[in-house]
Amino acid sequence: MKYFATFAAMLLLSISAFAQDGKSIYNKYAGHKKVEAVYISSAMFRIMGKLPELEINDKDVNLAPVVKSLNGMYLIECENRELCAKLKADVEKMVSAGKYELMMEIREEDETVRIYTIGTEEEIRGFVFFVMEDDECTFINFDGCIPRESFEKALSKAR
Amino acid sequence: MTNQEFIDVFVPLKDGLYRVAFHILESADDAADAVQDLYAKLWTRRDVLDGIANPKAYCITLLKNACLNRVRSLQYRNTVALEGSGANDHAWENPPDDEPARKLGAVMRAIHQLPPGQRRVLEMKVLRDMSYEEIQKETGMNYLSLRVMLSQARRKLKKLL
Amino acid sequence: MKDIGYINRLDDKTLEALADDVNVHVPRDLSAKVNEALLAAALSQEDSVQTAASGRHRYVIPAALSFVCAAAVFASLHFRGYGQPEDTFDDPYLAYAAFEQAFSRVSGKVNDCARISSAADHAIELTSATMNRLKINE
Repeated sequence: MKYFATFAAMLLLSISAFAQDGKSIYNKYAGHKKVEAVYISSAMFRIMGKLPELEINDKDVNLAPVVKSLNGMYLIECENRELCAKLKADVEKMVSAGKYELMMEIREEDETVRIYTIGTEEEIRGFVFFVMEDDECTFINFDGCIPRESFEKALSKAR
Repeated sequence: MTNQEFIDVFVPLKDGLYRVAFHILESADDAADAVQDLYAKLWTRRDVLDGIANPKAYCITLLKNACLNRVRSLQYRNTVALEGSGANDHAWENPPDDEPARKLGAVMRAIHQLPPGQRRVLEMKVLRDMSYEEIQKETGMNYLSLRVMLSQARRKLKKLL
Repeated sequence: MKDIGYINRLDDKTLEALADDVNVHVPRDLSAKVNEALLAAALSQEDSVQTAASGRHRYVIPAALSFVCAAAVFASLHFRGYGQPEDTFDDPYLAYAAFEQAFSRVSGKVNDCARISSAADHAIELTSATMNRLKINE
């Protein structure tokens, strides 16, 4: 009985942890009214990484190293106040369960931006971007093994 | 009739058509609206325009009828406003909805909000049916940036609509 | 505007003469307006063609194809993990456009933060320098 209870508890924990990632957030909110959802899989990132024009760009920022190291991108844009509040709570659960680190927070007038990362000094394994403004919010999650230097360089130039 | 043929034959007539509309409607805004509506209508009929012997005369006739409808519609609206709501006849109070015209108007307003670069590239691709290579040559943009810009334009329009 | 009777009496010759009267000023933005109208008509047509096509397909899928689709969905769920979403875009160029847009958005905010913190650093340095000078003067 004890072993069964422990097993059940671990199963529940793993399910709840599983429920708190980019994929589960995407699955939960995509398809709702006033929600725009975009998902790019690792397979698509592999194809994108092979595009010949990727290396040649008319801007002086090269996203090729970032594209080639990404396993997925989840994007949710919501214009419903109630859903935004729920999404915010889910994102907070996700970053605390996944042990993300808060990289920066910006508060300007009605807008709050939070950026979280998880990884090592050499690479970023997960990146979460969450913006909340009045009735709108945006959630962006990148997954992968992204060399930190390439990522930070691309971020600083890709406006 | 191909898109480019339509543009080559019918678009140059716009100034003359505007002058006719302006003479009839006596308003620059109304005349421009009438010309816009006419071109939108012509575009949807371009498959059957090959057989038109005199495009200018054809367009002027269509425009005259369109202006006539505008004047009638305005007079009707003024009549309803003057006479007040009638208890008996709902058809008078509620003229038939012109759903396609409203939709077109909404699309035009959305296009107007696009940045000039996106609008230009969208015109080249959708209107002039140019290939990506041709657009690249004309704009000097590279292929990927072009695809990005087109995609952004379409997504923005979708959002606005 | 002219009245209906007058408009009806306008003959083809008069209308052509009106069209050719170069003394009537034509607004400079007429070209842009005409292009907008044409583009709107073209885009509206694209939309209605796509809607019509999807409507037709809905009614002609045979039972065998439905079964094959269901089997494929089951297989993908089984092998790819529960609830794996589908790619939003089939075209890698469109996917790249969406990725770049999202990345630019993030980059914009990160750079805003860097700008704010750099301004704060500058303010701190100034304050620090002022305090040091005050200490020296004491």
